[in-house]
Amino acid sequence: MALFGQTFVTGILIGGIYAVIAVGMTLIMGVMKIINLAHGALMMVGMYVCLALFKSFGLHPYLGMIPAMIILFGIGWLLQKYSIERVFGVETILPESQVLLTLALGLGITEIIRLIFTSNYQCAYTPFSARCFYLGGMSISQPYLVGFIIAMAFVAALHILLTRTDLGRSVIATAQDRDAATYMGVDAKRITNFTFALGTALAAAGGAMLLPIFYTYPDVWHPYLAKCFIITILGGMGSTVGALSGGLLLGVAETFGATYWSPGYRDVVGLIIFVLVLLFLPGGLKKVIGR
Amino acid sequence: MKKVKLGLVLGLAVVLVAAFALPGCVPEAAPPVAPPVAPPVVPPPPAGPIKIGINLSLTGPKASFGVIDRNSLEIARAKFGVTEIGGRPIAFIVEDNRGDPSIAKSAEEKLATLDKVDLIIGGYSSACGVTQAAAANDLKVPHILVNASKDDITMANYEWVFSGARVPASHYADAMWSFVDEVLIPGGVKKVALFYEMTDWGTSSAKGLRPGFEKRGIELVYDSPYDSTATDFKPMLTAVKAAKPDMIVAVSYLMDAGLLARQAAELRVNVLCYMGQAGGYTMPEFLKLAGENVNYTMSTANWSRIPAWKGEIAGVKWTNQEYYDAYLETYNAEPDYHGSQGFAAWQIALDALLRVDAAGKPINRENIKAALEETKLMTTMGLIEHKEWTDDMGHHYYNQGLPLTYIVQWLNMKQEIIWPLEGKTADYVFPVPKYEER
Amino acid sequence: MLKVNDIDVYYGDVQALWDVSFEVNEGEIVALLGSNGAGKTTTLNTISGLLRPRKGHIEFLGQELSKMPAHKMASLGIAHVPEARRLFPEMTVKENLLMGSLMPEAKARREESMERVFTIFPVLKERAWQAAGTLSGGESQMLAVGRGIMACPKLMMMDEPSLGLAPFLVDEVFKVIEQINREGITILLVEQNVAHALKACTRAYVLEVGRITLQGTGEKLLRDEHVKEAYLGV
Repeated sequence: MALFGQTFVTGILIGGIYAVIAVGMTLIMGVMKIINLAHGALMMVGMYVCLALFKSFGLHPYLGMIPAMIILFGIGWLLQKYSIERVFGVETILPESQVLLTLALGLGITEIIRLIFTSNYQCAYTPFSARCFYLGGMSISQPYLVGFIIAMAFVAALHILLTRTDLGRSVIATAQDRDAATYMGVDAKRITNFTFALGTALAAAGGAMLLPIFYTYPDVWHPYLAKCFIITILGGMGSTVGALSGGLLLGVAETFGATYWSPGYRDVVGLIIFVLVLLFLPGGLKKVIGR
Repeated sequence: MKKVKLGLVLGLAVVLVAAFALPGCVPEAAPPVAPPVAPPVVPPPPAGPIKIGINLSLTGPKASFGVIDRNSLEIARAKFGVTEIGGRPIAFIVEDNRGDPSIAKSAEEKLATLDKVDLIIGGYSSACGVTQAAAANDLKVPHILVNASKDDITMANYEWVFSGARVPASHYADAMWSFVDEVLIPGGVKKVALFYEMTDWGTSSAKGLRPGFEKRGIELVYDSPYDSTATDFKPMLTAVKAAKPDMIVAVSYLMDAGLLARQAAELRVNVLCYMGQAGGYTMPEFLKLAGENVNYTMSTANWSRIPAWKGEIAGVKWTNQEYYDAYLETYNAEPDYHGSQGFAAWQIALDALLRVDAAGKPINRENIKAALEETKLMTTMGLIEHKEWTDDMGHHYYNQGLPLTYIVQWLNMKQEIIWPLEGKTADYVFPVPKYEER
Repeated sequence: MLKVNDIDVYYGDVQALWDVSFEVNEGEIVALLGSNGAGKTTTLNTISGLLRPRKGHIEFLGQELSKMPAHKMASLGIAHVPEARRLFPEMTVKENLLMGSLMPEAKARREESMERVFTIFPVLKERAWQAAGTLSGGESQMLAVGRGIMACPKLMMMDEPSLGLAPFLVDEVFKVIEQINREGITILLVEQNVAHALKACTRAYVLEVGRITLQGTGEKLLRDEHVKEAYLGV
């Protein structure tokens, strides 16, 4: 029972952090129809911003998260405005050129970071990183829990933004019918830039939450990008609630796989879910839970 | 379009540099490499310098190990002060393989074919060592291994590959077995959980460990590989805890060792003894990563500064302790067995080069190889002989020596030698206190 | 109020409009008639800024529109009720209506406009929390018009509001158009349903293959032989 409970708690807590990164992805992918392969790399940049602030000013990653999000919001905006948007709508030989562009951006960003910080593993280890409390034989790590709470707050805030404000509604409207949104007076280009930037800032937030728990290096993002895809497909594109439930589900499934099957196969669990969802639930959880 | 993209890349670079180039966050600069060796020689040397290729993981996940190796090579080079042999200066050509086996292989090929080196020293991780050894043997360039310990590397009958001072992975535990028999089994250890990183080194270590437990009637209640680049080991540790082992045996690199120690403490995976199999557990950085959670962790180790190994090369006397002191002074950190193997690698290389020269033969690949086959030298790792022999597990080795092994334990956040008793720096603590009582 | 002056419009290299000129005065209902492919929607999209004229000018309340970005039109007081309704299908009826009132002036009167829409189309109030994609054809059209009303526009451009509706609904729609007009909104109407449109409008223009071929008051065109033959099937 303790084993089951511990596994479940660990899975839920890590799943919440996955959800924040994935919600940024689902926003970009669902709302803008951009398959953004640079998303993971941008998360990694967020981690390095926090790391740099931690190392130079001793700023705890949870506080460093705020400047990191602002910087990444800016980077996301510039990337969208000056590169991705240019490829959008341009007639090219390959309809997938936009995907290839994001891949190139992701790899380019990784190399720039490698140039600045080298490939060495680095961590922002604080005494807080290992603190935890105990509940009925289960240990609950404080940084995981804090990460989880911040993650939930971000997902909730994003959900409210998208459904309760004009700005959020404009984002969704642009996704559903770009021209019609323009008739309503929405500057669709600006909204697209905003959406990409917001998604990127959320990825940075996720990275900042991971930093005190783990460590970082320029290629750290590969497994997280894969997880984002799995969650986005699992949750249904463009759905915050879908991304949240997808993130939690993936976190729990992976953790159970690693505990009861083998730690070496933990990523296989996610990929199995990915294939099953594509085959049997093509719309993702969004179709089941509304939106 | 092109212009725009270029502008974008530059712009991005500027943003990133502006964001990161804050004081103090520049990555730790590599310690200064020893000054260039070649002093101005009046008559041009007849055949150019003697080129020594160094092929190590100097950046990336395994960088800490590669750097400690290179630092120790530099200490050895400075210590013995030999800058030229037979009128030819000695030049080091350093390649960083980033801990990536394919890069390690191409670096080896570059050193052998493009730089035309006479000898290569290198190989930290086993995965890299495997590709480097194969390439060196194909290209017929003598190679001295530094750490890469997978048994197969010296069981492959590569005539150009020499074990140097490294210990084959399945022998890391040699000292552990006497500790198990004399201390752990009488102390009540009946069940063991084994987990190991899933690449060459971990799997070959695990393969060597299992029969030892079996023979002693110790039950393996958990046995699993894991991905050392993963970031969350809690599921695995939760399963380990549920299996209720008396002892954990772990084969880990550095970052994973740090996270494992932290997360084991968080989950209170209490055992009588946590035994690492060298690797990350003996590194000074392990302390940085895991903080006070390093305490009571034991590890097998391939080296100790305590034994009074000493000798003389090129007229310079050395002792084991001197290497330790020099490293501590130069780099402000304690070396571990990886570094000692790096120091010993240059001892072995230099000894071979001097013997070739002393015999009046030209220093080339063939002659260096012949000299290495005859190596019988006292080093910081003890007596190293390149021999062909078979161990009690039936492994048949070529060009392989067998340094002694030890057990260390972290006590009060310091590494102490606890076994064998004659080399100890502190008394062992067993069984270790529970996490909640520390 | 709106002056379209001699515009030529192209899709890539293919010309769609030739020398199109017409005028809408305040308080009028002006109909732009023509068969499928005559260039009616093209004309509206050019006024909305989604297409650009290669030649000519468009003036609204004295301001030149042909260089202005598309999303600025709404703030000038032009509401576009597009062809095939172009609702936001996964948003609720209420959210669709809210999307109609993003501009500051309209936003200030949001509650009031919403009430007005619900009075004109009570069925939308019943369906307020339903996704727009689940509405019937008639309801969708009401929502599209309602969304236009939410903008409190000076000029409403309606593209084929009667398309695909049952005959009794078509009557309904035209009644609403006249009602809105009475409330002070100028209307530019694009229609294939020539008979209805001519009865409702003040003046009308006939577009054929990208050119204006006829113009006049609704009554005058209703009597025109060519119109009778080509559009009224008499």
